[in-house]
Amino acid sequence: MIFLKKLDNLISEKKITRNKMLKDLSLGTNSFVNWQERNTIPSGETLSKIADYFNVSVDYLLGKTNNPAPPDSDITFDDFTFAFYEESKTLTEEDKENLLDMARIFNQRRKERQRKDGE
Amino acid sequence: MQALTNLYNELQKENIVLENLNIANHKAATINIEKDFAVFVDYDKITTLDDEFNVVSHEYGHCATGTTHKVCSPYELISRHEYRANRHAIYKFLPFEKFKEAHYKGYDEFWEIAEYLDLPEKFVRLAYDIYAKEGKL
Repeated sequence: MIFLKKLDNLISEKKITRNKMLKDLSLGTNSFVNWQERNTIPSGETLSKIADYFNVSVDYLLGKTNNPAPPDSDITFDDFTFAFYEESKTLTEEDKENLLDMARIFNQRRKERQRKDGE
Repeated sequence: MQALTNLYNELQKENIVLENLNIANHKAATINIEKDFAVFVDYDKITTLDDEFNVVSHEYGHCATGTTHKVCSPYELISRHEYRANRHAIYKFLPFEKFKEAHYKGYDEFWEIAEYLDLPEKFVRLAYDIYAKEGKL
């Protein structure tokens, strides 16, 4: 199940345990068993709590996007510069989408790094 | 290839973020936000260690020289940036002294120099072009 896979990755990236996350979010100790065995996803409210906890979007948790950044941190072409390997004269729409994705991911990494530095 | 390890060490030393990402039409890209740089590499498109070194060292050159541009930048600017990124990668990983040293040891063919210096042949050819253009060869 994509949701559980994403969640386990986030837990491991944050170097915590499933139990620690459940405790921090005041979620039931059987939550993982429910999600896993019944093949369900949490309610919208719980999903939002989990997304906020890891500073990712709900869509990312559900595997609908590869961009972990929450929607309020969206980025525009004015916010970054770039260089493609063996860049051609014109960028395709796909190239532009790729650029925005990369900028979003990078911005997310920068925020994580800043947060860690501040701890 | 020791040069590849050195390259990744440089990226780490310079706090350059390295990400593996599927990129539609390119092997790699560099992104700059404020003073920070990230290199995105589509490792599915990289077939050999030589290729990996050529691609990542070029992107490292963009980061080190700050040669990134906005969407819709003139192609002349992009070309100059490409050249500066390549030149920096060459200066860093194949300085002219090393090139000369290989020559003095009797290695004349590109593949021989590449083998002696444990670098990709394409990278050695690029170094030759740059040093020749500078009138050193």
